[in-house]
Amino acid sequence: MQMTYLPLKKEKSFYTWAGVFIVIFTGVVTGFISHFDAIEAIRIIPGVLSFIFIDFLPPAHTALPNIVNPLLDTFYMAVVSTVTAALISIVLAFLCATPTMPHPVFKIAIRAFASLLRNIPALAWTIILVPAFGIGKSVGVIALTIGSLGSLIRFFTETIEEIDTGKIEAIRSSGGSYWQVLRAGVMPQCTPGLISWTLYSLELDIRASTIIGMVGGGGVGFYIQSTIKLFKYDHAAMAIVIVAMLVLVIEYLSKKIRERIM
Amino acid sequence: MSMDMKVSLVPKKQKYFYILFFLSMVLLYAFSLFQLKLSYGSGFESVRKAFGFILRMFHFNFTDWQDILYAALESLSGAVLATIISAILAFLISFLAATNVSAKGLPIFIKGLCASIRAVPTLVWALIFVAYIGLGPFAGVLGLCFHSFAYLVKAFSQSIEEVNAGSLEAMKATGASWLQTMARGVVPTIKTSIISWTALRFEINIAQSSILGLVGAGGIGHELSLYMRMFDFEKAGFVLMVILFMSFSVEMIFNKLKINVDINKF
Amino acid sequence: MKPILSIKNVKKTYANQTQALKGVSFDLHEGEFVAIIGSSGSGKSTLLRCINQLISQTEGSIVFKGIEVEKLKGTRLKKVRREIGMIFQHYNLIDRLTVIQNVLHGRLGYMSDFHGIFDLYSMEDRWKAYSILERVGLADEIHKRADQLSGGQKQRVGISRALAQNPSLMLADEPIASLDPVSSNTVMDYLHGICMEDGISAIVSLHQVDYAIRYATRIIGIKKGLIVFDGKAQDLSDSVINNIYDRKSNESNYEESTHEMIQSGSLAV
Repeated sequence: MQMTYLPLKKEKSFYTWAGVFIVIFTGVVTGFISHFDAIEAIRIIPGVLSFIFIDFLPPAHTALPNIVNPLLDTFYMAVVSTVTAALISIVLAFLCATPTMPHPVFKIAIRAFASLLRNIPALAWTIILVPAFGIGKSVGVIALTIGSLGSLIRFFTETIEEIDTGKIEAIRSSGGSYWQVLRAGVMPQCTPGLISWTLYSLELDIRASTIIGMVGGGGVGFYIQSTIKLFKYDHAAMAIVIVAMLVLVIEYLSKKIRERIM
Repeated sequence: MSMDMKVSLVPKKQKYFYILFFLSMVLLYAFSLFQLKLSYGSGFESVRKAFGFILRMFHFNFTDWQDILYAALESLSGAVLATIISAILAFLISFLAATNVSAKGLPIFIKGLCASIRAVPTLVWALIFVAYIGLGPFAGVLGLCFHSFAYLVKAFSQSIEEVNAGSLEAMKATGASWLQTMARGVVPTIKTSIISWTALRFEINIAQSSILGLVGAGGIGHELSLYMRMFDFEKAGFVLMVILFMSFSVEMIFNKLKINVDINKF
Repeated sequence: MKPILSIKNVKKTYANQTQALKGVSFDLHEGEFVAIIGSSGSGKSTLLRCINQLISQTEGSIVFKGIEVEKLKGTRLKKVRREIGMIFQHYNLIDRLTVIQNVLHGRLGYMSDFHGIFDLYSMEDRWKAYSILERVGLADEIHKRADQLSGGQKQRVGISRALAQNPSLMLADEPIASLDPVSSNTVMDYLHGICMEDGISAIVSLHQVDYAIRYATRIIGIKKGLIVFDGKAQDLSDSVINNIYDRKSNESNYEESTHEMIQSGSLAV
């Protein structure tokens, strides 16, 4: 019986082990840089759990009246921002996507613009705009809109670019004008995708909206931050729980609607 | 083909759904806009000011560039570390959360727990950890890990659930144990989607970790908040550029590596 | 001689009230190569899966080498399963892994969890897998990824995986249903040949009657969860076939005409 080595696959398992080593090495290095103490992290687990369960829970019902208005503001801000961003993005996306762009220069310019907007988080935008617009819901809406704009332009562009260009050619070759091609060929194909991305963006905006209050953007974020700073953890917990429920509800609705249209 | 033929492009029922949807969105939008009671008066003045400030930001002042770069490195490391830790933990737990390979009842429980964790924004988790262990990037990384973990459990378990049931059946039929089937049947099949999801989450984590500092969790967000509070737009501009650069390069690198994930399945 | 497998009055009703098996009984002796024929939904798949307990029957007993399999759980069930090899209509390989890795999965039942998880197959096992692959003519493809193979090749890998288990019983669930006629011949030749050479008993479910007649000495016909024929291939008359497939005798049908064409020699196999 031959006992010489018989490998199981073509590449050497060297790469797998190298990969594992790189991951461990990176982990250790980044751990040092970010002051991460792994032992400490494990040691404090019981402490953190008791902190959460004893100090935060049960949430204080008395806090509810103070939460209602900021929470509603949070919701309204997210809705307005998402829809506004969606409307603007549709136009820009059409100018940017390969099948429908009037000229390649649009594509490059808009893509760069969207990239710029998207890589700065909504929270950062809030901080940037507060000096100009002051604290409050207005700056929050603007910041959220700008943030969503960046993402939606990219998502919408992708959706438009995924359509079957064969159908477009068919309409164009039978004599349709730009607008007719748009209406009959492009729109039906990408509407489900556009709506889907808009709903996804709404989910993201709700999450962002809940925290921009912490830097002056209005909404329930400020309440959460201040109650925690004031050690009123059970009040904060009430707000957090309501926020979590809002996020879950929006996620659920979004999922259901997207299932229906896809 | 005449354009005014009344042929419905979409089944009737779906058409009603679309109409209903659009109508309610319009109503919701109008209602929300009204409820917000935004002040439109000072609008133009503010926009003018904003452009002025943003213009100032382009005149970078990078005198404190060492501190800023170190802070950026802190944020970056935090994101990397949080991604690694949460990915490993999520990978292990995801097997228990996948309906096709886990015991009855367990997936629902774990998925529910993770959904709740995810529903709390990362920044709030960071705040909670800051309240417990104090300011600094350590709290931020922990908060990021928490949220990241919950997100990846959902993503990974979804990938596991997409594995062909027949292949798993076949391994079971050979007498392989559950662990062996997972390791030699499931893992090789989901390897690429695990990597994709982790990469996606890493992008998100980079963005999140930049802003953790804004609430005291260290890193470059802290620097940004510092300078903005002093209305030092020139320095803040440099910080923003660094943030942009980090986020942008990650996006570019991943685009080059062509790691794709379909968000609509999430 | 005691039968290697004894099926006694097995019934299976699914959760949605479908009665897949309504009382099936037969004995299998060592070395037999049995073909089970029947139309889709007749219960063939269910029966096969009850034997290695991928599905557990609602009533009745299945005795394999003296052990009642329905009573087994955990390690003991695994030990019985590793003695029963199974091949599937859709091959059920792990696509991302190589041919030889797939075949070695047949050894997992004999290995500890630790060894199995980290791919620590012994050299002995690896060469054994290699020699099996040589037997089915795939020695040159051992490092190819499973999804790069043709259907016939994939099924041969499936057979190899089952053979790696050193089984005493082979179950085949519609092994050639997804294959073209040439690959079907190749696969059935290998399956039949190896089982005969190694003395492995086999139960093969097929919906192509001509293949059943060609390879099996004993044929069991199932219709709507009950056995309607159990005997030698020669005794399988047209009227019996019609009964199994629920057809009127003057209706022309693919299986039947192919059968006739083979018998009259106009279709060469």
